[in-house]
Amino acid sequence: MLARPLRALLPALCLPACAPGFTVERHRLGPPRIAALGVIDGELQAALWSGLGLYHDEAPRLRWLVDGLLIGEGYGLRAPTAGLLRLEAEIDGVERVAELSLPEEPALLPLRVQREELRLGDRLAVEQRRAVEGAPVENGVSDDADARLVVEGAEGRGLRWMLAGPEGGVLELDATRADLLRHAVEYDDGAVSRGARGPAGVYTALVLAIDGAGSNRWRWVDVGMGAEGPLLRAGERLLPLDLEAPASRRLVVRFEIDDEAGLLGLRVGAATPLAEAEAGPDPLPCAPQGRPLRLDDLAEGRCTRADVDGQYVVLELE
Amino acid sequence: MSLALLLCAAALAAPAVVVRERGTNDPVPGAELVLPDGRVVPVDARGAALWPAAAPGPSGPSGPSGPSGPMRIEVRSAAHEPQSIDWDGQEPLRVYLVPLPGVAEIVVEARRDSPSVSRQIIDRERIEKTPGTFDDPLRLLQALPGVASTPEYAPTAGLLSVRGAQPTESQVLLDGIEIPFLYHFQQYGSVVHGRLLDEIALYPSARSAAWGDAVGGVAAVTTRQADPRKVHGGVNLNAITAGAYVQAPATLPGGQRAAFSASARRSFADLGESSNDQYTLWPVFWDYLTRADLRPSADVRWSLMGVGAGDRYGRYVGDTAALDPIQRLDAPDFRFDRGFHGLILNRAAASADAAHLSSAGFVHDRWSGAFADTSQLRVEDSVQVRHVSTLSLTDRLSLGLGGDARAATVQRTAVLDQAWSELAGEAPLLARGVAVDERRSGVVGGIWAEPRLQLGPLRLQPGLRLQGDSDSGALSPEPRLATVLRTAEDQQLRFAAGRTSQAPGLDATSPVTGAPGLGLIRADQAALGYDLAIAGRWELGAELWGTRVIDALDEDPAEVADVVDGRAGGVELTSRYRLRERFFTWASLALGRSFRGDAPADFDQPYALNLVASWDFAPGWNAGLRYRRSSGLPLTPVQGAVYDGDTDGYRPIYGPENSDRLPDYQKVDLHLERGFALRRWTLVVYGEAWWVPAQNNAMYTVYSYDYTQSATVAGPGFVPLLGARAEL
Repeated sequence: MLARPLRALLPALCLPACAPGFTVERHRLGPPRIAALGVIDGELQAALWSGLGLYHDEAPRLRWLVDGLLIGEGYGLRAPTAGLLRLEAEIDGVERVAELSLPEEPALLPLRVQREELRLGDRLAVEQRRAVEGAPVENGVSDDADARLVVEGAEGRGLRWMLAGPEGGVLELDATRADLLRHAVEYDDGAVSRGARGPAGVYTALVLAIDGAGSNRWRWVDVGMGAEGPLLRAGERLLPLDLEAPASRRLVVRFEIDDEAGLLGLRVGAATPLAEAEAGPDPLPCAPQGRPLRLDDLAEGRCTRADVDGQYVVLELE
Repeated sequence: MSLALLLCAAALAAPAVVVRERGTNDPVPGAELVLPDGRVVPVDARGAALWPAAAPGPSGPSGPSGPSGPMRIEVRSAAHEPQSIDWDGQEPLRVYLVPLPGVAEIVVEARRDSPSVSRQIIDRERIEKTPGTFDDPLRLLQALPGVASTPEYAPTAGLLSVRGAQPTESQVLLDGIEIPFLYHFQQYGSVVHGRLLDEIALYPSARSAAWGDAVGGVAAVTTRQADPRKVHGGVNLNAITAGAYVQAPATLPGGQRAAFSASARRSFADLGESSNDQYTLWPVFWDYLTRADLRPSADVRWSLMGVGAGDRYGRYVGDTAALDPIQRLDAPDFRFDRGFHGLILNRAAASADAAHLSSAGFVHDRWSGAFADTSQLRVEDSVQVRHVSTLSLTDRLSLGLGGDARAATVQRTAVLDQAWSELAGEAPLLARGVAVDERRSGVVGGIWAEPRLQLGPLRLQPGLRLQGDSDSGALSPEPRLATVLRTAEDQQLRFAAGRTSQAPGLDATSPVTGAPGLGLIRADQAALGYDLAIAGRWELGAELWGTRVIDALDEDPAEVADVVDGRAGGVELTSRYRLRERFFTWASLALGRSFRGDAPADFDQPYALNLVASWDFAPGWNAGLRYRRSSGLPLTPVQGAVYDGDTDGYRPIYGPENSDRLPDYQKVDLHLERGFALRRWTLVVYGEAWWVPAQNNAMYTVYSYDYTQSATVAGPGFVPLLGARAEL
């Protein structure tokens, strides 16, 4: 087999050559994929992107192997402390495989994300963007602004940024920050420019922190970009709900499938804060034992849209 | 006083009229001046008119024997266009005659005898006039049957694969000494100036016992001996390189005649821009060659040559097109720098019953690649000697014997903390991912003897070579046999067979990165050929060949080399027709397969077609056409990928090795050249263009970041090139 070609030399002496562009790129989640894999709180976890949005219509089928031996299927498996982890996933009918070196002591990475508002204009080069300061915001930025996401708790880790959905663009800034645009990002021989502008609404990024040794952590981060209507913060996710910040960290909500609801794919039919002492409705069978549902459980396939459609569920706001 | 003395005296007095050839400024010794009264004045070896004593002479310094007043003279020569000139009979006159087109000499190449009956030759005329070389005729190697034809500028373009062998299994010799590389980068240019090339010979397989240590082919490049009579020189400029060469005679102290040659070239694309999105240091290549020729006697020739070439550039590691600006800033800035310098001494001696050719050379090859704290350095110093003697024992029997050896020291260092597979082609030690600090030495060589017996129409040539390698301790006796049966005046049947071997090399047997137990690679080769000249001028040839390779290296940049057996076979058909200095055409069709293990070899090419034509259709004009079509090289398909959670990257899952193939390649080259013969020099302006149809322009396959999508990178489809040469 030939070594990887030294293809870089081709254009060096001004000779034209070209390859068609790809419709997938690493900063956009695109078709179904295993977007992240790690051991979190002693449990094997994976961020499974459905290719549809922040929901799954079919429950992913997961097979977990360590050093080639099957150790279990589905969600919620406890993580062995050593070996090569292999996940074979069927996501919306697509087979995907991922591997990870199991860490002996997974590091705790409580990632937090700060949103900032700024106006970059055409100043998209790295040095230009570094010169622009952002102002902290709670949930989102105004219609004509860009957003900056600042990650805390990822020291010593490398960050990877991926956008959900076909709109917008993400530009990394440094080891902890990235800028989120409603515009697509276009590259031309190193120069960056804005492409098509996406609609106003909630944009979602997946930020992954890796240390190269299997201690991975990730967060799904919603940002309102000129979004109309109130948004309720649930961890790093946003729900289109007109509620004052509830005293309780839990809500009882009723989800309904809504294909017009953007990446969320669900409409919130009703929402009521749940007092700490209240038990609320029975947990959904798909929800992890011992804790209420999170929106990320829908994004990563623990629960499908059908599992929550028409159901009153307790939603954890973190 | 005799007429001769009169002529001499007149000539020495003052050569008032000198006749030279336009473009070369060479004297025209056979020319004549025809005076108005019909008398004829001859011209001497310096081109000076020899006025007879009886002729009326100029009143000037040429004395009373020359012409005395204005007149119209005609100057004529058998090989030049005649010219009429009005002359005042007073001032010295210099006449430049335009040469007539050359005599249409038919060249039948199959008549040339060679100890290796399987061979292909490109001589000086074809070197200079074949289209599609972009003024760089060493690229013609890929036009020869048996050499894998690859797309221009593809990653494989600079690699020489002969009859399905791996590139590392072939040797490239420059005046008998092996050089590290023949082409800059991916065939952007060869390392030898085209005007200093004399001949390119390819010995694809089943060679004479004189050749060893290569289980693939041998490409022997011969540089040109300088003209000992006059100065030649030129400058050349095209879209890629600028260069110059000069050849000059000289007289050494003691009166000995010598000649010197020198050339130098450099790419210049870096001068306008030093970096871009992908390159931090624009690619640069350069080469030089100097040569001194000495002929102390009629039977002995010496030449001493200095040669060198280098490539360097800086680039980001990784595909920067797929990176964010911030990632691009973090991408390592890799610097590649490779160059070699060589000193080559040749001595040729001939007598009535013996001929000897000896070569000795020293080659220093330095190969570095580095970024940040990661680096590799490979320095190889080699001393090479080669000797060939041919002794005529009787009218029917001669004996070829000789030997060759290559002693090399390799110093390798690699400082790294991980494997960098992206750099496999540029820094193999970094791709291997193993820290190295070692110095190794070894000697490879052989001695051989080959009686050559001529029995009427049959030439029988059994040979034996004893090949050894100090690294593996292996000694390999290698019997060879070649026969040529001339069945008629212009027909011959050729057969050659034998065993050859090759040392795996000091890198492959390194105890740090290789497999110390590797032995010699061996190959059993056979070839059967038939040559026919129709009507004494149109040559047709066919050659059937087969090779079995045993314990060939199976190299992967990321792994220790292993061994694998291989087999290859095919047939090559050739057609040649040539009128010297007027027209030539050649065509070849190579059909064959090559396997390593059960998989097609990397350079398995089921067919390759080459058509070349060059025509001097008018004085000063030359047009050329070259067409090639070949099957695409094999590739190993990617059938999927595994997401690596440790790095957030993807690792490809490969399908069966070399089970897929690039599309067929075809290319048309056109060449048009106009030479202007000025009085003392010649200006040649030329244009070349190539065209590759879009569907046949695949160079290699690239994949999306997750290997779910693939695309074929196409080479340049239409490329024009304008160039000029000025030559003394």
